Amino acid sequence: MKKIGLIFLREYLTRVKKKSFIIITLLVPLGFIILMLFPILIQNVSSDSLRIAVVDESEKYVKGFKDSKTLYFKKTKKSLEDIKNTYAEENFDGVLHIPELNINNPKGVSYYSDKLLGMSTKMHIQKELEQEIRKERIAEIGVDEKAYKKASKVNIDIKEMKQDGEKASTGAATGIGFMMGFIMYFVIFIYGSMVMRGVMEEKTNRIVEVILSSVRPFQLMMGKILGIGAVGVTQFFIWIVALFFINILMTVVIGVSVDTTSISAGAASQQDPELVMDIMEGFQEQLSSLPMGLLMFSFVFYFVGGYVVYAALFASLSAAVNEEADAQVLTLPISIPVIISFFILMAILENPNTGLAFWSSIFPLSSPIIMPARIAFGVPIWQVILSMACLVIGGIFTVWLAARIYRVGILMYGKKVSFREIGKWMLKG
Amino acid sequence: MSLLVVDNVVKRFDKNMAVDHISFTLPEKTIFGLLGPNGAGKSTLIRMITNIIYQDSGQITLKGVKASERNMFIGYMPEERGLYKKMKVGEQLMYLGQLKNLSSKQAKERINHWFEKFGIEDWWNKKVEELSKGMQQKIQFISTVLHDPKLIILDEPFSGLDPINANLIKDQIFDLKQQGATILFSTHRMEQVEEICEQIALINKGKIILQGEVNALKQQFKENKFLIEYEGELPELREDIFEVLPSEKPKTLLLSLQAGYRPNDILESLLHQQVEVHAFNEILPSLNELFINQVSASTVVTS
Repeated sequence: MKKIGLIFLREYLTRVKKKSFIIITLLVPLGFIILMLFPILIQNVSSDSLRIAVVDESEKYVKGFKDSKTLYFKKTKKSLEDIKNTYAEENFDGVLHIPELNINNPKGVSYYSDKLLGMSTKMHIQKELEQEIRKERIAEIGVDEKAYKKASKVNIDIKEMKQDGEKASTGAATGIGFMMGFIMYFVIFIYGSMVMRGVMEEKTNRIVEVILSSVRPFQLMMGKILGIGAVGVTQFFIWIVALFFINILMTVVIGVSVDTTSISAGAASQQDPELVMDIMEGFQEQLSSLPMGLLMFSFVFYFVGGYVVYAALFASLSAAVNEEADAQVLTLPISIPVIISFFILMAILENPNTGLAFWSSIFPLSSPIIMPARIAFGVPIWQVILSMACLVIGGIFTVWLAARIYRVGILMYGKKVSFREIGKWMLKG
Repeated sequence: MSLLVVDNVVKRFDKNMAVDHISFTLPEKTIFGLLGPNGAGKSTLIRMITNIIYQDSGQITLKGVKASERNMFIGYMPEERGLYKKMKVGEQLMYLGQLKNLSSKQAKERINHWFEKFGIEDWWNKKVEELSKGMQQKIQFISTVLHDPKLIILDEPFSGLDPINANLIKDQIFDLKQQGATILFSTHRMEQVEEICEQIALINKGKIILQGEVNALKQQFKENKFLIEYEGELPELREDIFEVLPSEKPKTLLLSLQAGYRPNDILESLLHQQVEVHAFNEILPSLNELFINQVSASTVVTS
């Protein structure tokens, strides 16, 4: 145990002290900030205000158009042919032509410009126009506009409940389930390949023979797997704390910017703020309806278990490799179950109670990706216990098997190893 | 007293007998040469002694130590050297020392001791990749002997070393022997063996084909050849006592003693003549000759 501790510490400290670790750990939250700020920045920076000359032949519609910060409508009395040639000189960006419209089949609206409108501006104009036409139709039928608005505003939300009256929620479960599955997928590949590089470094460096004259191959392998696992936990811990603060920061920043941009063209203005509030509140409620305690615990459990299982596999196969190029081929069989599990996860998010869902959440190579998602949907507790037990037993078995491959492979130099030979190492003591 | 006893050890890889019933003993405080051509089974044998792999059958015992802890009392420098390139020299030695059960305090003291000895006190914070190959070898050597091992196993310790560093390491080897360590030396470079080793075992194809004290082996395989350096005129030579062999240098005489005579008879036949004898040496076979003869003989026999 003392030896594993020493190896663990070295593996952990050398990685955590590396410049590349510090940079990546800091860059990821920074990336999140940029990713979150980007759309807002883009919206504010890129939407130069557009001035549009409107030729409205019926003169009915344009008066209803609302200007926004970035979009000005100016009615013109000139003929379409005239304004088409002179709009640029008159400081317009384009000409919107609304011919006489048949309100039951409104066709023939065009926009003339040397520049394209852009999706959100186009949608905005269409919406304005649709609204005007709707008003016209309502008036034609003889319905009061206010009464129509009142009647058409309906919002239904099906609240899912369990027998015991606890609330459940498909939306939040899907979101959380996907996120956890994705993180597991990410963890297995990022830290699994870190283990792989570590093993190969020792082998190609030839230091492994010196180390093995002091410790058992199993101790070296375990120390490395645990040390790199601790690197992963550290990194995730830093990211979660950072995200927490970023989130606080963002709600302040976005809260302000939503106010200013919501009037402008773009996605925000399409929804009525009341509805946004409704959705936000609903989401909060849905989140609190999930079994958060069990979810947190199971996420940590499957994080550790899934990592150990796959890291052991990565360690054993990369020990059999002499060159980086061969590593690609040998590690392919490890990647396949991870990728398949991820696809199964997608299917399960649609339909969380199938036989496939059950078996894949018990099998230790897929359960780390799938079980946390199923827990979000709600799963009988005996299945959770069975799955966890299988993961523990499967983990111990995988590590044992990996150690057998590792100790032969790590001292094997020069020749290319086939899967058949690796099979032999597993069987033979 | 013998420190290491290797008794009837066998290791098979698939159908290939890498080590085929090898037995030898290593007396305390000696420098022992394990010789053999490439692929003879030296490295496999060493890996079993250092507990890196296990023998299929047979016993390996290090005096006064449990088999499972044997490697804690052995310092092993493999032929293919390796260190963590990105790690600092000091940290690396601390790590390797602690893996050999040194406390961090002990490890630090000993590292400083060796740094002083080699005059490299300012290397603690250097990264291994910043050092030249010769410098890295020094670090590798320190890591091998840091925990004061009873048995030091050096696999081709001088390969890649310039003469100055090779001498430095050689001096350290003698020093360590003086202080009570036993050294097992694996190589195929005979001139070094001759210089350093007291005993040897010669391995070929997994079997020991020759073993014993260097001087005794030379005596055993000597061909009764003598070299005389002289000045002046040679008298008529007594071909009944010795046969004259072609000699390469002028003013020398290479002789082969005939059966039934002693070396003194040669001298006697020359002493009272005109010729002035400057030197009289017995020509013993070099280990190199022994090695080549024995290896090719055993290869012929087995094939």
